[in-house]
Amino acid sequence: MPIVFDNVSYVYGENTPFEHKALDGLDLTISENEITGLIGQTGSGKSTIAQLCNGLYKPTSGTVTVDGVDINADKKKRRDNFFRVGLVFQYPEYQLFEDTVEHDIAYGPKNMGLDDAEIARRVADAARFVGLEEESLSKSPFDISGGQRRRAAIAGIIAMEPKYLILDEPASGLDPQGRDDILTKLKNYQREKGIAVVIISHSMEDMAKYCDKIIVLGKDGVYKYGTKAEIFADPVALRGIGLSVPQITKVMYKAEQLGVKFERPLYTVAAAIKDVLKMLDGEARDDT
Amino acid sequence: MIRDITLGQYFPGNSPIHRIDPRMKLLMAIIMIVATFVASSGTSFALLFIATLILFLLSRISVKTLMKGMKPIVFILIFTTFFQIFFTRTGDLLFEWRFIKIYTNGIIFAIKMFIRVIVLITSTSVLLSYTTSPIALTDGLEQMLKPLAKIGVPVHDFALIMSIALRFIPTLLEETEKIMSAQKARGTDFSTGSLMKRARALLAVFVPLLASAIRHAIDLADAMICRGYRGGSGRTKLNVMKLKFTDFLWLFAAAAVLAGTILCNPFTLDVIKGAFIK
Amino acid sequence: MDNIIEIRDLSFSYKDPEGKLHPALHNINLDFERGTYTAILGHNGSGKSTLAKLINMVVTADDGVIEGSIKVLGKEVTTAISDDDAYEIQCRIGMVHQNPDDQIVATTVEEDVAFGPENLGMDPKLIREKVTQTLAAVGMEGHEKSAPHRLSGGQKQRIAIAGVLAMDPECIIFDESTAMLDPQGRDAVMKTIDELHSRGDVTIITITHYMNEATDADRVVVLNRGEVFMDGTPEEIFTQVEKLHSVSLDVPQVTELFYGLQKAGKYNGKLPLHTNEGAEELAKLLKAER
Repeated sequence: MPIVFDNVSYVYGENTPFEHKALDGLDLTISENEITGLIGQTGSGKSTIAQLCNGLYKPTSGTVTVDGVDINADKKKRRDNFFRVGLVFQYPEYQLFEDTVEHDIAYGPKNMGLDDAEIARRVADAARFVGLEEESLSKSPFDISGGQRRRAAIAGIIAMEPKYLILDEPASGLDPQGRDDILTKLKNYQREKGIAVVIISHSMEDMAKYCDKIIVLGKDGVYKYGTKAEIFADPVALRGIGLSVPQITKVMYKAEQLGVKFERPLYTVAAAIKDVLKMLDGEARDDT
Repeated sequence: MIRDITLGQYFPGNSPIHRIDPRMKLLMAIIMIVATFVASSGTSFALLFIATLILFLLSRISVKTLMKGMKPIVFILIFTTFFQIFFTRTGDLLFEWRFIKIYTNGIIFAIKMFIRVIVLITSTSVLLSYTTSPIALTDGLEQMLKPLAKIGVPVHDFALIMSIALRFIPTLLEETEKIMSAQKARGTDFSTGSLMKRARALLAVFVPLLASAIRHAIDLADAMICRGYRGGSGRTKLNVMKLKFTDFLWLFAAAAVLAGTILCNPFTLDVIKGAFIK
Repeated sequence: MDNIIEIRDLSFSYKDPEGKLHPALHNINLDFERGTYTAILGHNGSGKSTLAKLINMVVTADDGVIEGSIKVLGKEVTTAISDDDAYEIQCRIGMVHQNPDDQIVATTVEEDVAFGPENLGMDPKLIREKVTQTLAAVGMEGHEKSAPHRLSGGQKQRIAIAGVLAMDPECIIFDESTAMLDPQGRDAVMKTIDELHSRGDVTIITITHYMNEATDADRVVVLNRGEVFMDGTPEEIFTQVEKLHSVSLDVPQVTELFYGLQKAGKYNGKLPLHTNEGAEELAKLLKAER
């Protein structure tokens, strides 16, 4: 069963001069077994939503249910939520603290109270998924490269084997190679485990490439929820809420304004090439 | 959010007290502290009390704010007041019930003590913490202590350390909050378990925080070098502190209060005593 | 030609605490002409940041082994240089770093912008003028008294740019200055860089791994594994799609599209780099078929 937000509001610093409403009456569903992209401008509440999903934040009003259970109903089970809904913060490498990478990845599973054999299995598994080599496991997390640190931190959450995995800007600050690498690995992980993955990102190009569904946050909650084709069909509306679309979608949109008609919204380069070639071929055949 | 917290208790504003030069405010605060300690007669306390009241009213700081600031010392204040009342055994006996004996001097000492603490806290916090930004205070201190630089005291360095600390407190607080949340999400339990366990949980926050602070320090040092920083010599200041005529008036007023306090001391003490004995 | 920086046969290796050498740059030859805008592209570890730090003497012979020469404003900076010359160069070559939080020194915006001029010992009146002028240049006027930690990442970076501008630099190096920003912040900083460039009195070097931030430069230098891999105008660089892919660097999506069409034998014009250009080309292509 999915994660469901029912009429959730969240207020920061309630009853202080700095009171600030981050979310107001939000309804939201995060489906199982797919990658959901969460996009929105800075300040639209993306990170707040992430922390509401695993119970780090408690809604000011409304309920958050995971697998049909209100996660804030039973205070004693609070920690279970952390293990069920894994949350990778932005720049997660800054949370590494153990003496070796291996111990750091094992930190979460250890907190779950698992036995040593199970912990070892999970650590090895998680390291394999994120592509950390055997030799870096015994190193100090402060002695490996930035890209490896990021992977180690993500492995630390994956090792808890959560049913839902939420990642806040998992690729930010990485170069194109590192970015494609980590996102591809996450996609493979999702496909193999069949869990729900939520990726928060500013990059429309990444969203178009790696997500199945997309949630667009506007100023007052969810602006749109749907497949990529549905989301990217209207670049002008997205612009209106301060978001952009992949450059390729912009090109196609502008070309349409110049009098060309495409059959479907295009948001990846591969699909665009395919469609344009089909149009060129198709029309060539008409001529003959 | 955590970055919204105010540093110290500074309340931005534009009251006459806000506008006094920070150096003068520092001097005035010192004068007020001295005055509260030399005051011993009723009149002198009354004078101090009125002077403080005027400062407070002019600063446009709300009573609520002031009360909030007093909270931490209320207990001590009440305790010492009672102590004075019940344990002073000089003067005339006013009241007796079993072992409780209250003497006139007990009452007098208690009132003095009470006023002394109130005046001390109110005048210094109105002058310094509430109406002077930490950075202005640092600048003021630097300016005032400048002569000490001549005998080798690194005044500028201390001031820079202070202001960078002030600058980074919100940043590091925000990071602490983030790291704590991240570790909680990995199942860290900060609030239950044995002392050992909790200490270990805190380690998961301290290590990353320390690493982060060091990273900030190294990067900031690079950035400062890139912007031509090479110590305090030859540096100028965007905002040069200039003493205005009114600043001197304020200093004069504070000095007058001190003089008044001293002058009032010997005579009035006798007068009040006389009144009580009758 | 008036070169602000001249790099000849430069190689550099970092020395770790155990004395082991880690090569970072190899045989670099680059000139940076006054008033131009150059983007240096490359992966993490390609040596692009090391190059910038060598130019600005944040990395020196103390940190490793330098061979070859770097002349900045006509002065050799790789060998022993007097403190005054080093200081002069650091003040003339401004640098905007990656993390916005780590380059803000003061607790108000105006004091932060004033930090550089104060170090130079400028007259307070002149500093005030500089603060007003540079905050306007980066579109942050009216924020003089704001607390920097309450600003957004993009705003903080623009404050940092103002702080560098206030020192009247001849060259500004942006070392991955947009890497930690959201798209709005990134756009604002890129717009500021473009405006600085169009005024023409300052040489700009940006270091980035975002391809679309390099398309507006006059010149693109691609570094790979410490060597100059490509050097040319954005058109020359980004149209070599295959070559960029071989070192897993991207090209703009629009270029990628036309490259795909070209490979299929359906396009033989110039590969476009910009959205509008691409849309027009595409419309022409599809209409021509009709």
